[in-house]
Amino acid sequence: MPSTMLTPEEWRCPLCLDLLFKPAVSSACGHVYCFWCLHKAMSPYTPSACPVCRTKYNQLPAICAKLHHYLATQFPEQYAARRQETEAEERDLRSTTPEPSPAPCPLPSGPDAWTPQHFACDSPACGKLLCHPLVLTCGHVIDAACMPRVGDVDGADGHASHTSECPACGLVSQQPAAACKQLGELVTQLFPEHSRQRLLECEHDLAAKIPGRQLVPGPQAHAQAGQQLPVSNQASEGLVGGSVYPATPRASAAGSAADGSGATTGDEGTAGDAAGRRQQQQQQQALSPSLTLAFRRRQEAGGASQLMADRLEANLQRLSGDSYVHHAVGCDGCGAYPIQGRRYKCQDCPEAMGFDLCGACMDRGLGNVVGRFNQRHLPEHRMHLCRPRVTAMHLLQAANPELPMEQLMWLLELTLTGGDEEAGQEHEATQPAQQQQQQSPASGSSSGAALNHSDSSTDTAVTTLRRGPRPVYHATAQEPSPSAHAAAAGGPGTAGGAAAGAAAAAGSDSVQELGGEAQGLIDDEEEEVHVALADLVRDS
Amino acid sequence: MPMDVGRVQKEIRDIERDRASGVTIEVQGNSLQKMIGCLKGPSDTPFEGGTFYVNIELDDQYPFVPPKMRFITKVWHPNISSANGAICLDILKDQWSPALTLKTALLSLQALLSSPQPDDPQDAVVARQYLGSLPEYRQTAKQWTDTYAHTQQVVGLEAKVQQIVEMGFEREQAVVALRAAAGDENQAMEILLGA
Repeated sequence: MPSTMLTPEEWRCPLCLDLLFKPAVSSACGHVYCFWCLHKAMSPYTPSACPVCRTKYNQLPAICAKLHHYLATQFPEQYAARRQETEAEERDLRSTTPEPSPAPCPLPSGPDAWTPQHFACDSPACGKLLCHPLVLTCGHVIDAACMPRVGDVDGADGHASHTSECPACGLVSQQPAAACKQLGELVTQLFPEHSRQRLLECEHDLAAKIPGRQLVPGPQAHAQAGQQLPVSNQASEGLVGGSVYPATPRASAAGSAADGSGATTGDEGTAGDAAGRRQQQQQQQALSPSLTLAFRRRQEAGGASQLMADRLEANLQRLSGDSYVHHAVGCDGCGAYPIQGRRYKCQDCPEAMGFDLCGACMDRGLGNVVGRFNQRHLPEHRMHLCRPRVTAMHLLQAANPELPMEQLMWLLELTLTGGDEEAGQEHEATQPAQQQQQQSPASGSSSGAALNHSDSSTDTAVTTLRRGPRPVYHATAQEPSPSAHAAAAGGPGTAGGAAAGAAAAAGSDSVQELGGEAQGLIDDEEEEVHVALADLVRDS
Repeated sequence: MPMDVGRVQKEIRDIERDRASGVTIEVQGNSLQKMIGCLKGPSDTPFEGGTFYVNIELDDQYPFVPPKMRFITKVWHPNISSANGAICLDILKDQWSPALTLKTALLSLQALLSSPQPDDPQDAVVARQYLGSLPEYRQTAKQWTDTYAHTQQVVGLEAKVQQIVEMGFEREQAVVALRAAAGDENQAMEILLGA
């Protein structure tokens, strides 16, 4: 048999095209990347899409120790070379990644001397050879049969769907995991006989657990794959509790703007006292009433930019409470990136990277975890609840909920580069004025149209707004935050430019109008609001 | 963050190894940020037999942002500007994924040539013709292919580039102009002076 999974060619990272180093598995679809590559590929503003299959995911997975040990032992020289390369890069970034925990049993002295113990399920109750390996967000590899069951709907891999609490460490993933095909194939190739036996065992187990489940899933089962999982029993409801992202990205066309149906379902609460505390904190976190009032007053006054005010108002709830997204900040407990809802920041961690936890992880008391980036966080460190800060990007998002993130970034860039004459020429033979008030469904095919629309109105915006140096809006502008080093986060655009983009995309007539709006808002707003608007006002 | 040079080098090696794919790539200068890609017109289309050159620019953040691509060779196609070669293709914009490569992007351009998307046009004039009178569109596209894309391999390109560089032009401009002019120095000079 050609031992394909035993050659390094099968273990290339789809992003750096090199041998995987410190592999991390996107748990919702099972694709494997280098930890750093996957981190760089994540979106700091919205749930990310798997680069290979575009499955949405919202947690940065931890390094998978099993795969790490396999690669390091099977390809020692290449892996050492990759280590050297990566560590040099880490020195430049002034950040490191944790060394995965040592293998539970001694590793073989050389390649090709593997035993089934090396590929055993991490669940303490199982410990048998993996059969449908699910690599969870925490990096543990659990067999599909060992995961607690959620419902009777079959998952994308044709096997039962599971809750996402890791039996080994208790970490809750926000999405059900899918089998990692690469790891599964490796195990099958290493131990063909043993795997076949285990496969039968697992099928049997699953059939016993799920009444009426066919051994071979029918086409109907596959058709249901990917749908929202019905939470069927009491026990699992508790497990699924915690902040849940909407199934669709917030900025997508599907997440309809006005009704807010795309907004998060919010926390169900994991414990009674936590719920009480949270409610109190939510009140603290809510957007100040004066800002809300300002929007409303502006709306009553009418005017050219009423449309923008209307749309912002309709989406105000996104700027506060549990819907607020902490751009470019990741949770060091569960890997949620960006954090939605409550965010706690460590005040004592010395690393530039910082240490943050999401509300759910804070409630669970994950005070002593090793951060995703090897921060030396200690349980006695003080964690403090961060207030939501509304930035230009938040406003842009709230005013254009139907636009996908990529287009919002385009708008920012467009305003920054002075209308990018290329983009202007591109649509030289302009389409009819049908897009005047276009709120087109932001599917890929309409991208040209949406951009076209913005081109026409940003020209004035750019000239009015590009008068002086302005703080560049990027991730680190909020606070020196963790994960903020993300190169992907270097969203270009000035604060003023962003607002101009908002104006342009919302169909507002001119930037001066927007400036007036902003002025009004700030006058009414007593508290520290946000950098972008204040900056805009200075110029208007 | 500087560009991931290692990955780009691997991509180029991969394209060079895979001759059967029908796309090639040539680096301009030393920085790996500028290249010229080349693809063959797909068969059973008006572009059959043509050789199309594409200008490629890589951002520092590549592969996390899409490569900038634009046809150098003039093309008559609803999704390609007949004036400046700008391309309207979702994977070069918001549908880009870092798991895509220069090779897959060039192959996608080839696929775009075979299946135009007139509903999302780059060039509205071409799109109107495509929707209104398909035979006419095919004829024009074929004519353009015959006129602009039927170039033999540019013979002795390097010597001609040198000549033009000595006249005080940028090397990269010289190469692009020579390619667009199918190796004719005079025409290349006209392009350079007209630009």
